[in-house]
Order: sequence, then C-alpha cells, then structure tokens
Amino acid sequence: MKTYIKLFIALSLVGLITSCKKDKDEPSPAIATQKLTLRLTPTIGQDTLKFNSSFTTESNVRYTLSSFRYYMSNIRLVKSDGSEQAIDGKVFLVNPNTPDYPLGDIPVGEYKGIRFSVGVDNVTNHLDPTKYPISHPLAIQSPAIHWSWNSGYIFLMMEGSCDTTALNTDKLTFGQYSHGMFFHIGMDPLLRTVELNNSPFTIAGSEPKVLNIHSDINELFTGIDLKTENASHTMGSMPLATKFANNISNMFTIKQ
Amino acid sequence: MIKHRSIYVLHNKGFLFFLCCVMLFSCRKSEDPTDEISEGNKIVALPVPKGFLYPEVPVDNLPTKNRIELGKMLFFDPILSRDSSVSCSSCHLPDKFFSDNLKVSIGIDGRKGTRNAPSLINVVYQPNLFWDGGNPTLEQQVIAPIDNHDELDFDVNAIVEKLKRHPLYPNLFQQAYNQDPNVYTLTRAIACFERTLIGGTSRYDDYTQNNNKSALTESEVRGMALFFSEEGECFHCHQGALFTDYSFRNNGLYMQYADSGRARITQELSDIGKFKVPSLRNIEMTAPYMHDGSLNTLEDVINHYSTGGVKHPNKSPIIQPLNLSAQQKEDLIHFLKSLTDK
Repeated sequence: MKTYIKLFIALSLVGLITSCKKDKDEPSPAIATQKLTLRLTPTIGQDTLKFNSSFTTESNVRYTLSSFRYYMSNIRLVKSDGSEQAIDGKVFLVNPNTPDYPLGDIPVGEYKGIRFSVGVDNVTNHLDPTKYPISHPLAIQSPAIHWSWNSGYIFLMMEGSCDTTALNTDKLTFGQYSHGMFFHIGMDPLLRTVELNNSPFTIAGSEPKVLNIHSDINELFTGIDLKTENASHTMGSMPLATKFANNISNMFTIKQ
Repeated sequence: MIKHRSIYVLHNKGFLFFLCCVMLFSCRKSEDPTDEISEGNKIVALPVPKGFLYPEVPVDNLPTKNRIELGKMLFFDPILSRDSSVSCSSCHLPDKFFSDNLKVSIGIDGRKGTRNAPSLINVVYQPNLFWDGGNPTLEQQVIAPIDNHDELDFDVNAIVEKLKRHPLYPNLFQQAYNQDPNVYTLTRAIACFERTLIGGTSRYDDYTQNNNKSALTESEVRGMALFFSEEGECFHCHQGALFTDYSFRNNGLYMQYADSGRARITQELSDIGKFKVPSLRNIEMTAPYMHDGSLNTLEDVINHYSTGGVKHPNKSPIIQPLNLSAQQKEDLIHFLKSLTDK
C-alpha cells in the first residue's frame, strides 16, 4: 500500500513539474486550429434512416430497424502530404438521434480524407466497463452494448425485423415484420478500419468545419440474404458476422 | 490506489478525532459516529483457512466491514431484478452452499437458464467466472446476471437510479466507498461480499491441516489414496487446496454438445464441449452435477468417470475408462463427502 502511495506522490510531482514547464512554453509558435465536427448520418440508399419505417435491401428484402449504434474510435485525419493527424482518445458511440460528434481543435489546412475504426481496439475492448463514469461512451449503456458474458464491446449493433416470406407478403405490425432481425457484431478480429478519401476537404481558420459523413445501411447487407441470414451474436455465427463486418468499410462516404 | 489511500487517511483522521474525543469527553466516546465510520472502513483480512493461499484482491476494492455489509445487503436484495422478484441469493442460497440444488437455475418469471449454478464458496480463487470462463473479474461478473433475460433481466443503470432513491442505500454507499450508488460501487460492493465466502473447514482439512487422523474413516482414507493415485486419476484436474486446476476440459459427457462451452468464448472448434473444472469442495451438498446439472448423484458422476464417458474429438486424454470396483467407487464417494465444510 505504501509503495502505491509513494508511486502516486511521485507521479503527481512529475505531473506538476511537467505541467509547469508547459505553462512556461505556452507562447510558442501557435499552430492555427479550428473546430471540426463530424456529422454522421445513417441512410438507406438515398433515404434517411427512420426507425420502424419499412426499407428494402438491394436484393429486394423488406426490413425495419429499431436500433442502430456503433463505436467509432482511432480517428485520424489524412493530410494532403499523406501524414496523419491523430485525434487522441476520442471514442464515440454513434446513434442516429445524435447527429454531431465534435473532434475538437484541428490544425487548419488541406486534408485528403479521414480514417477511423468501427469498434474499439483490442486493449480497450477488454478493460473493465464498470470503471467509466456514466456519461462516458464506454460505460455500461442502456440498453447495453457490451457483452457481460464474454467481456467485450459490441462494435456495431443493429436490431429490427425483416420480411422472410417468399413473396414479400408479411405485414408490418406496430412498425415491425413478424421475423426479428439482429446483428450484434464485435470481438477483436472483427474490428474494421474505414478509410474515406473520396472527397478532399479544407479546414479553414475562418469558421468551424462540419464534415458530413453518410453511412448507407444497405451496404451492410451486401452478399447477405436477409431472408435466411438475419441473426448474429457474432459468437456462434462467426461466418455471417465476418461477412457483415467486411461490409462496414464500404458503407461510409464523405458528402460535401 | 487513490481510494485506498483516502480510506487510510480517513482512518488516521478518525483515530486522531477519536483520541481527542477520549481526552475531552471520554464518557461520550461510544456515541461518536466518526469513530464508527473509521472502524467500518478499516481494511479487514479475508477469512482464509490454513492451507489456502491468501487470494489476490483488486487494490481498488479492498475489503472493509462497510463494503462487505453493503455487498451482502445487495446480494440478498431483489431490487437488482426487473420486477424486484429475484436476487443473487435466489440461485446462490446460503443454506445450499451458495448454489441451488437445481439442474439449471430459475430466474425471473420462472424462466430457466441453461447451466447449473455453481457454488460461490471459494469463488475468490476463480481466475475467471462462468463455466466457460467468459468473464474476467468478480466485479464485472455482477453485470452478467443482471443483463441475462433468464436471470435478473434488468438494466444496471436503472438499478443505480433505484438505489439512489432508496432510503438506506445512498448513505451506505457513501460510508463504504465515499461515493453515491453507481455502476462502479454497485459491482464492487457485491464482489467484496462474495470474496468473503471462503470454505476450508471440512473433515479433510482437519485431517490434512491439523493432522487429526481420526477425522477421516478408513474408507475415506482409501478413497483419498485412490483419488490422488494414477489409478484414480482424479487429481490431475482436481488438484490443490481447491481441488481444481481451473482448466477447461471436455470430459466426454456428450457426442454432440447443446452448449458449446469454452468455444462460445474462443470460437475454436477444439474448445467445443470444454467446461471449467469445478472445485470439489462441498460437492456432496451441491448436486446435481456437470455444467448442465445432468448427473443427479455422486454415484452417477463416479460411474461416468469409471466408464470413461463417450467419444468426442475434444475429450481430454486423461478421461479413460477406470473400471473401478464397487468398493473403490464407494471409497471415492466417501472421500468426496469428507470435503464438506462444517
């Protein structure tokens, strides 16, 4: 116990010393920065996602969604020279009811694109979720987006219903088809990196920048027949979960 | 680390205050509430019996009287379930060695789970939780039965809100953790209580630790010799003071497993049908047996190992037909019954 106290005091001193230093060095050559916000819009084809409305996959299967959330982490902006500007420590739990995700102050300049992970890295994934304050995106959420029985986050959670009838005759009842649909995608091997370089952008000193990114949910069903492949907890259905996760990288686009 | 330090300081401050009170108003010292709080926040030793190692305890959740008592109160409180009908203790009953003697446990709305509830005695020694080892700490484990639709079927954040409005809990959480009820303190308190559930008072312990040769009968001694012999093979997996090596093994119970066991966590085909080797302490009192409670009696268990179970590609090579005699089986069962705590 005493060792810990000593360590704590030592660390505090180091912290004090270094923080003092920083204060002194403060008026060093200022890098112009500007606020950047990601505006994340889930879509279905050209339509905006609405919970409990009926949508149709590209292979003509009707479905609804009641929940769609995913973790975004390890965010990096790619400068025009190809180098990365990392956004340290930001983890977002993206949900359709919250459009804007502020990244803070970013050096102004020309950017080629953005990279990020859908999910969390393999260290964060196995940390104790009960240690985060309730406002933190990695805290236990309501409803939960963490598997308590194997200790890991659900990287992307989608729930809803789908019409599994051969002739698309199922009726919507209270906004749901009779067959439940869910994809709970997680586990370290299914962490996917997204790289968006379709549309270069400028962060100017004059005004805060909002970067619009759309995520087309229909892309997630590429190669998946929702009539039969409509349920995955990842564990126990790794092939389907992998197919689904492999589609994540293709669902995002920068919209100027 | 910080928390630990603050308790330490609190205790010291409390003690100084206590001294002042003694000096100034010695007749009133028993009424001084500060003194009581500091007593309750003193770090206490776990009741570890002779022959057991002192278990590892997370430094942010060292046991104190206040924490243990709060955890105990929560463990028995149905406030943790969606409709306040079931608690942790519904499936982990103190008079059944914190198990329930059911094939599989029954949770909210009479729903049945899929696995046999393990005894919580000596759970502090488990390197991970559940039959498949899917959960890493007692603290994090608390969330799992709350989440599970067949168990408490509730939302831990909703529980926290209820606890905050409760007439007693906010004060008890403050006393124990110097914080309001929250997910962190709720999970820590219950884990803190569970760590105190330590056995080690069986006749076998009396025989081995106190060298009391009259503690075991002749049949039990024969059973013990067989248990620890290459002929019996039991000790390969059921070893040490806790009678388990905590490994995951397929013991040839089925050719096709309804529950994939360890493979549910690892996704490895070679882990299908593997479950954590259970402790054998109090085994007499915690029937039925196996991950699914499919064997009703110790006789059934011994017969399973005597015949060597069925074929499975993942079956542990240690599980081979033992072809035990009737006398050997009886001796083994007698020995297993000597592992029951007083």
